[in-house]
Amino acid sequence: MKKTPIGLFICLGMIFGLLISAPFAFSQDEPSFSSLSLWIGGHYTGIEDYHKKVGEFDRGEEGALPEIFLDYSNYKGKKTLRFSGHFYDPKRISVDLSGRSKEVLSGKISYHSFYRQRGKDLLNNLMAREATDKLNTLPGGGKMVTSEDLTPDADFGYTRHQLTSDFKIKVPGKANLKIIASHRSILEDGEDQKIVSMHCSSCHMVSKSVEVDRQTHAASVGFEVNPVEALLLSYTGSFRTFKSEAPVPTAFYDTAEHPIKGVNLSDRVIFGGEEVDFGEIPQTQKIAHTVKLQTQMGKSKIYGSFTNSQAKNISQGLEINSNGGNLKYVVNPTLKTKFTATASLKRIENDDVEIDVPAWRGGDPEQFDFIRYSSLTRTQGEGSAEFIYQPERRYRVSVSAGYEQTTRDDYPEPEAEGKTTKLKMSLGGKYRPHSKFTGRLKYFLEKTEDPAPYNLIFEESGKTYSSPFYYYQREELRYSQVTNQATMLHGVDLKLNFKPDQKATLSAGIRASLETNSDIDTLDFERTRLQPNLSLTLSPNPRWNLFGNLSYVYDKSNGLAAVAMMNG
Amino acid sequence: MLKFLKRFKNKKEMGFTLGFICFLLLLPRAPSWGGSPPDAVMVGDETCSACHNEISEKFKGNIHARLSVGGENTCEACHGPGSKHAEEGTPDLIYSSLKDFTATGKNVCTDCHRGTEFDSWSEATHFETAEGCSDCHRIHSEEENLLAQQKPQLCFGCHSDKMAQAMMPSHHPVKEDLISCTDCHSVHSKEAKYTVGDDSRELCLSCHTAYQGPFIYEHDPVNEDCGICHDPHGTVADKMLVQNEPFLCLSCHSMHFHTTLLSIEGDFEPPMHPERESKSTTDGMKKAFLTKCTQCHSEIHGSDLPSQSTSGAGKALTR
Repeated sequence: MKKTPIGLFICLGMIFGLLISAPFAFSQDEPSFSSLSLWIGGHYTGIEDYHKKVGEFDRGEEGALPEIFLDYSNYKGKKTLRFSGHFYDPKRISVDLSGRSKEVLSGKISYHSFYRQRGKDLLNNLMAREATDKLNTLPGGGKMVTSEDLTPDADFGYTRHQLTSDFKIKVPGKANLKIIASHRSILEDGEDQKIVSMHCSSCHMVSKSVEVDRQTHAASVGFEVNPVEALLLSYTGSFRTFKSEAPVPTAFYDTAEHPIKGVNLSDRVIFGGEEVDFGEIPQTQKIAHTVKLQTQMGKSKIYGSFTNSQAKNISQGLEINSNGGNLKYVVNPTLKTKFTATASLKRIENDDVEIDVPAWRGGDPEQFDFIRYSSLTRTQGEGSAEFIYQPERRYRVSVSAGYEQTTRDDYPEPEAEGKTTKLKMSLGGKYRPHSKFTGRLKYFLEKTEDPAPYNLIFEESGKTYSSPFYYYQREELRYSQVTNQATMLHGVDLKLNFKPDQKATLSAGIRASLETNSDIDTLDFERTRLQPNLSLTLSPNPRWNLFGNLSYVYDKSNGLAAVAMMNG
Repeated sequence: MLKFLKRFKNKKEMGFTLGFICFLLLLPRAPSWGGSPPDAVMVGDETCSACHNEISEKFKGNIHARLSVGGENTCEACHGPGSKHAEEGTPDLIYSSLKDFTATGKNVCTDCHRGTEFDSWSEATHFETAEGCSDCHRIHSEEENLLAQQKPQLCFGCHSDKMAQAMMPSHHPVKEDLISCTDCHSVHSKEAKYTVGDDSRELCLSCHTAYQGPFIYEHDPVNEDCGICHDPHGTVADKMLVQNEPFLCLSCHSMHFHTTLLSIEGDFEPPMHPERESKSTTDGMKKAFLTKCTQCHSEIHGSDLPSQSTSGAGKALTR
């Protein structure tokens, strides 16, 4: 096993334990309550005759291993300390330490790890050579596919370590001011499969084992304060960074040549005859500032928030900037009614990128340079309203409607301002005659205009080839209407819960939806989903759960697929 | 009345409607809303335990009791003044969250549990669909967080469709108890923990940070919504894809043109690389190009490195 943050966890835990437990030493007058439970056992893991991918999360260390579970808690007045730990195997450990010292400091730090087995693509399907006659006997064609596994004995998988800490400090003397800090690190180390294509000379796929060493660190600090009873203000500043410490894998790309004729085709490719990087994961970071307020005025409440964020690709110097605000108004006009209205507006700007592409076939005037405009650059607006009416305790009905609009500045082409709009409606009902039975029924509808205008991505560029058509025009003719995005959705959700007592739950339900897109000239897209289910849960006590579930999923899509065409 | 009956097209429709109305009328009526009368006063925990001894004994290990919420009136801190209830013994004269909760009314729990985590609890989906706090929490329990059941069974009790998906071949390790529903879902408000900013994709990116970007070469659905290709609750297809490859890809893209090529039956040696002895079948090209698009387009979430072909302008996400 490579480095793990367990050492860091122990250091943080000791500091935290001292902070939390210090008041215990100085207040001997309060009664103390402690409990300790220790469980020691063992298990055996063997994966012979067991397909590894099926046991994606079940495989840790193989063989017989001891297993330990420890739980300790101590309560003293308004001070609490709790530790729980579970050692399953060296790759699967969980440790939690939490505590509270009066109402001043509370916190929790945790370390959890597990192993994820990765599947292996054997590339067996990649073996073919073009024939030039319909009897498939003449191997005159130049196109072929081959593959090669450079690390046939590699076993792919990685261990994921997660270390989190959360602290809340109530500032002494400032009864309504709380400081909040949290942190999370995710470290992943192991081996994974990377496949790279060496396109020319003969289409050749190479599989390699590459090192995994990914690190995500996120931290946030902030405060919340009640300057007056009816007003809650909070601010949170968040920072996250990601980097891969593993060396960037490289692969040798053959010199571009016609595989049969040996003609040099280097002027058709951007690179070739050299070792180049592939699968590089850029170093990134993200910073966000969020301000929230909540206020109450008579029977109504108002919630508001504003977030500013910047996401950066440090490796390439690219940046996404985002600003967004939400507003929510909730009012109880009477004891039996409730009305909620929301509105939000967000602006996201992703840097454009100028990309130089070498000219194709020396001397040809066609250029492939382009500016990468991003579909992420957009303005999003949303508004919704919901009304709930509960004439008496056993009935409740609700109706809601909402509207969303996304305008993408430069999509499908610069300054095109491609727009997607969505209208949402729902009707819901709930029946609960007593605490043992609850029935819910909901109908929902979504009507979308231009769900994802990516069928218009055939930008006016590229090469005319043996015809007056540009590539993009030919592509547009072939598959511009292929989509799996619906313009209309109807759905029903029925849930019935029966709880004869607190130890048993019987649930039954069905969720059904029909998605269609009738904007296509030739064939409507249609997707039908139907999922009935029945489940029974028995909990003789809070530590025991016996459950059974029967569910059937029917999912059928019917849409266009563009049949392939050879050049010209 | 006759005018009302004439609206129906046939007897079957009329029978169904009238039957449904009768069903609604026959539904058992619930008792009226409960709660302490305005003139009730506090009576203290000892009075409560005189009748509710079993609950009182168990409650001593409860976090509310240990933290002495309400001092000597721990029970009434949540249930309200109990003098009238104690005098008459009528359940309707005291508040019980199990039977007196309404989505439009007051919630006693949020009187104390306030702050950023709970600031919009009364507007959260669970507040409306569950019966307040007591569907998930046993307020008198000694368990951590007072949960009625262990996770994830607690969530699966209502979300049994998600339970079924969690058992599918490709899933997040929820049933293995390595992550929990609350790692993604904030049950007390609409916001999830550990997200940075409010990008709609941020929930996924908070763990799968490698795909944050921005990338030079983008795949547009990644900018839109991870759910276009993935269902995070579990799928039959690998990598939690909503459909298997190549069908998922073909629902937006055309088939690769190589799939139409005829291929030979028998062994072959690539002329430039005779050491690569290979065997082809007549459907070899179809197998190669209609099995798994991400074998070649491996950087499907975005890349900073150009692909090889000049005519594709480096956009093929193969490197």
